Amino acid sequence: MMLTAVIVGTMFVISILFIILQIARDRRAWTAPVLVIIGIAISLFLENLMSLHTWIALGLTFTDLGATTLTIGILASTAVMTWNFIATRGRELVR
Amino acid sequence: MKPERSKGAGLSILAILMTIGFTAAISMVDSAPKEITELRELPDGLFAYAIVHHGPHISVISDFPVDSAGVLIVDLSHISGTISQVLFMLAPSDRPLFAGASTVMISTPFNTFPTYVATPNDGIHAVMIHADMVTWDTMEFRISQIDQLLLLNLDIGEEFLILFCNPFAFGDVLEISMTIYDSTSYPIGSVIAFIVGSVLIISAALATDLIDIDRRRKRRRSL
Repeated sequence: MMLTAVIVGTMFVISILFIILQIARDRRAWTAPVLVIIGIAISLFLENLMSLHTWIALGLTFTDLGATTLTIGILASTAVMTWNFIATRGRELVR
Repeated sequence: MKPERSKGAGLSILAILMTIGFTAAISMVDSAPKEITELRELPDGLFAYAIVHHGPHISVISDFPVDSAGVLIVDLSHISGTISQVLFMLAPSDRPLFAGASTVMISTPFNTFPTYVATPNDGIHAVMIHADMVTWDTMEFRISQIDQLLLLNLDIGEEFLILFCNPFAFGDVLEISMTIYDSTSYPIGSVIAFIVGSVLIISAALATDLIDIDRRRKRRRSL
């Protein structure tokens, strides 16, 4: 369960970071992998700071209503951004 | 497909602001007071206190009135160890069972298996296992390793924590079950999470045009 939460949280952070790709005019090949690494680092930092993954795990197990809502929101946002990213072949995450 | 920059920028800013706000808010929640959820008298005059709290370990340990006779404190960290830790205190009422044992803390950064095994002194062994990471076979294996067993089953919402502990004075197997719903222990964080989650859901719905505000406005104007 915790592993799932870590993956969901990290995907969410990376998705938000990838918006930089959409905004940035000058895109290079190394930008995406670097953003992924930064996303993982930020995700781990958020876990230490505010237990992001724990909240997601609490949401995934339906332990708490707030955590569940947060997790659904994170999943929905990540899904939308990922879908847009794939559908537009990397041009945009949010419309 | 032409991107609609206004919506995109809105969602981006919203997501970033939500993340920053959530971080700040939850970090403040860590200082919220703990609460004693359940107190149950056990056989042999042993008392078990289950305390659900959130915040740094050190604040709880320093605040809690430690019995002069000596106590065994086992800190069961729920899931990752920061939010909703569960602290068990086993304090003998009539004899200094754990004299000199002072404080034993077991905490876990992640729910790996086995999470932690502590042998502080005098043959006290404690193993903490998250049940979702373990099968009955491994449980039986663990039980077979311990001749004198105190088995605590602790339900926290959907999570099932088990503590194997063998204080040397317990001849018989003692089984205690407690159910603690810890969602009430972090109401502020829960409310914040609910608000942030709701905003994210609405943002995602807006991004997929499930909620089309412009169309509704146009319809109103046309009417």
